[in-house]
Amino acid sequence: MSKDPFALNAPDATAPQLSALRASVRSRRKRRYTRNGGILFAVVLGLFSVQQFSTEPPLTVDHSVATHRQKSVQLETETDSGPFPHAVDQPPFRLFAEVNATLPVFTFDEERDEMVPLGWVQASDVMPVDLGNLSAEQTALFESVLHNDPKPQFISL
Amino acid sequence: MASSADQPAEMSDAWIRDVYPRIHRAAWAMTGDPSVADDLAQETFVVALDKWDSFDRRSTRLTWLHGILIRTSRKRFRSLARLRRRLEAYWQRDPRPQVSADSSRQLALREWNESVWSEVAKLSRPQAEAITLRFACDMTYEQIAEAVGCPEGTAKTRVHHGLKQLQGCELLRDADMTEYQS
Repeated sequence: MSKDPFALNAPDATAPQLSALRASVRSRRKRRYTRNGGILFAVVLGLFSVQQFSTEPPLTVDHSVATHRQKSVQLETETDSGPFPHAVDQPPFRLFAEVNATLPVFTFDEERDEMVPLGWVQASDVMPVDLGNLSAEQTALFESVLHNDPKPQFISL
Repeated sequence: MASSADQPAEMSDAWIRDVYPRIHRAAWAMTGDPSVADDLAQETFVVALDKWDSFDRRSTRLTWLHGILIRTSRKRFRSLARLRRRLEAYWQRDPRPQVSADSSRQLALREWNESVWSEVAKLSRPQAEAITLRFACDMTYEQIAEAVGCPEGTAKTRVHHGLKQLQGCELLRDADMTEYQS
């Protein structure tokens, strides 16, 4: 009878303990989450850096100077007659708002006579946000916020 | 038909003790190095535990484990090939490491080198995988196909062509290869 050429005398194998395998899986998952979190953070940081130095405002936002000025005057008039005497003679203004999303931040560049993007604000950041073109409802809300906030923040552009 | 031992609901120490030698045996047949076989087999079980809930029950857990072993060994093979290329470019010489092996490891390495499995390792990767699963693990063609992720006919072809190439080697000169083709 010929010997089976595929016969194997495999060396002894010591099976690992389930607890040791679990520890390996835990450590592996932790490394994976850390790595993925790091990658996500780097991507967000990269986007932020790119947007911060971009001079092109997003196409979806209407921030034409004419609209901005028109709305600023309108708001000035409304707040002028409201409970905020210190808002008088503070024509265009910006509100320090707490936002819960990623939003573009703009400012008005007098030299260039146009709105220019500053960058993006991330969730729960408190950043100066140009509210731009407000509807009547938004204006009412805005005024109520100002009325209820003991320290409304105004910044002249 | 798969028994409950083949399809355990959870990984347990008893199940690991039962199936680990079979996975280790396949790993050793593929690599010839007991310590590498240890690494491959343990890595297979770590991945299996991590992905335990993703098992789709199309096969037995053992076949699924063999599939993980094959993928793990491919990954290792690729990273070793990359390392080899880098070392060759750096040293401009054969980068085979001069490692001192303990006596039991040397014995196992020598035995593997003198066995038909060292010839199997010289075949193409798909052929070597199919022959290992067929003759070291006694798996059916259907199970091999499931483990390596190919149609059953392809698994048969790989074994057939692999055996044909092995016919030329010294160790199989006197063997009747037709009995392995079935």
